[in-house]
Amino acid sequence: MTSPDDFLANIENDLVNNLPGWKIENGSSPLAVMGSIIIEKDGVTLDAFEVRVQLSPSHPDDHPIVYETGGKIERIPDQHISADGSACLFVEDEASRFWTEKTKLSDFINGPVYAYFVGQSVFAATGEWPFGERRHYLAGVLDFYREHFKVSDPVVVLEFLKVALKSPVKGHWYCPCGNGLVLRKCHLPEVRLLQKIVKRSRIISVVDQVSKALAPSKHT
Amino acid sequence: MANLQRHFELFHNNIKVAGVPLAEKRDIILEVIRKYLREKGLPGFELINQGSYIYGVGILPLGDNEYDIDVGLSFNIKKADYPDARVVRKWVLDAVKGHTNKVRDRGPCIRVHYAAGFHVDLVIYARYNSSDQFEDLYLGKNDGSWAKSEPKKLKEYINAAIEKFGSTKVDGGATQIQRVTRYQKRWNDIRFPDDSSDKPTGIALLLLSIEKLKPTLSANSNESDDLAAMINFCDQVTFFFSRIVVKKPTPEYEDVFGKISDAEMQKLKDAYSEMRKILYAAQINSNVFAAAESLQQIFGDDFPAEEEIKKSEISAALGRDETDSVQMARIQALKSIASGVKDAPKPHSDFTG
Repeated sequence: MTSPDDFLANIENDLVNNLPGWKIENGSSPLAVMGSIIIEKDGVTLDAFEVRVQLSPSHPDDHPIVYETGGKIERIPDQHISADGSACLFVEDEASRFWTEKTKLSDFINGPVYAYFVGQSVFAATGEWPFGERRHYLAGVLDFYREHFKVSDPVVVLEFLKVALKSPVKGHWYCPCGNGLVLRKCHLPEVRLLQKIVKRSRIISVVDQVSKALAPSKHT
Repeated sequence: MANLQRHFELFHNNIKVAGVPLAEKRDIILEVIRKYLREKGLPGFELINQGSYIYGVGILPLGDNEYDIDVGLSFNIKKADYPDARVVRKWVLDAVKGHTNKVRDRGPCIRVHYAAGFHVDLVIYARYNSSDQFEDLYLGKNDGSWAKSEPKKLKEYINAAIEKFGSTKVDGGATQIQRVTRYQKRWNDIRFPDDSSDKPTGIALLLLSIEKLKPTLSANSNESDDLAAMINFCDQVTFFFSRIVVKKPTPEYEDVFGKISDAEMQKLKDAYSEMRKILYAAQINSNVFAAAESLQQIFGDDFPAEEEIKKSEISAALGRDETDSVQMARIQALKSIASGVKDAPKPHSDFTG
């Protein structure tokens, strides 16, 4: 178990060695660091963003929250940023691709955070997202699961998520994709992988939201 | 399907009246009138801001046409003491004479023209307060009569309608109903380049929009969809075979389309049908370039071509001082950086989950 002093020293070292110019913010809890994301090529600065990255209250289990503090990005969903300036880097369901409890803060900032701001800069200049974008809200989340299971029907996605919530998942169950095969001969690897990469609490939340979205609307 | 929302928003920016030169002129002329009334010992007035400028639906005129501002002058007098409204109108006429070289005594107002290509319409009211809550306003016409009028109520009615479109606001703060009204006003100016009794007035188009337009957002996002809103609006307007009738919600409760002849009314409805046809064709056209170009048929050159959209996005991003070649070099460099980024996530907008 790392002591608070060691933890702070580790972060400081990480910043000094890998994120020159970045500093720990005084007095913030959870800890936050601040600095600039500079987008440059051949020594020419093309764009720069003022950024604050705050560790999650459940650090290191969950990824830090990233804020654009310079006000350069318009606070609208189409810019993938919320009203308080927090950046929507990815759908939460694929967060484990970019953050694990072993990820160094500098790797996170130099990786997906840097990519996010490069995307912002290219979008501002051309109107196109260079790495694509997720659709807003639940639609984007659903798209992630559609890609994961390689199915399109949201009802089938919902069935897969319900199966992923079961423990243990039995290989002889029929696969929700509906091709008549049992899971072990069909989508079992995808279900198992999902159980590994997406938190159970998140799957429960998505099942709830998708169920509500698919429920027939009530007319009075 | 072409997404033309950015085009519509840029079109709106291109045609809306912005800035305050008219308000400054208004204040100057009001001071001239106040001074004259003081010197002559005549009753003073309170200002009633009214008209398209105040409702946020003013548009820039086409060609040599003037743009205008409406101002209500509410005199604290009993109309019974001044049975001939022309007496009160003359106070104002005499006060503004000589202020510019062209002052016209028109039906409901006194129009003061400015050489810079705009005019201020002064509307005269007699106001009688029988209690704190009750205020009686009468509009002084140039035939000498006084007509019951409720400009403040009309403003409240319009503001309440605009408020219902709160979720459709974009950058400049205009709601969808204000934008769609402005689109129609420009379309109307293109159809009728000059004043004509067969030309729907600005207030008629606004009241028609209040009656028929529904707030419309894109099915995929919370973004306004002005194109879909207008298509639906045109459907509503042309649904009945009869004339378009919209009663003013305040006295004299007249049909604001009432002065249009039957023949012209048919042409107006046909024009709405034609507009609907072109809007729909643009909506289903997958070629944004062609779709934007087709809309210039009805909205004119201020409706931006695709090229202008790209240019506006890039110049907004880069600042307007850079030359085209510097901009292009910068874009190339940014794209090259992006192509070197490995394992980039796709950004999302998930503020609830």
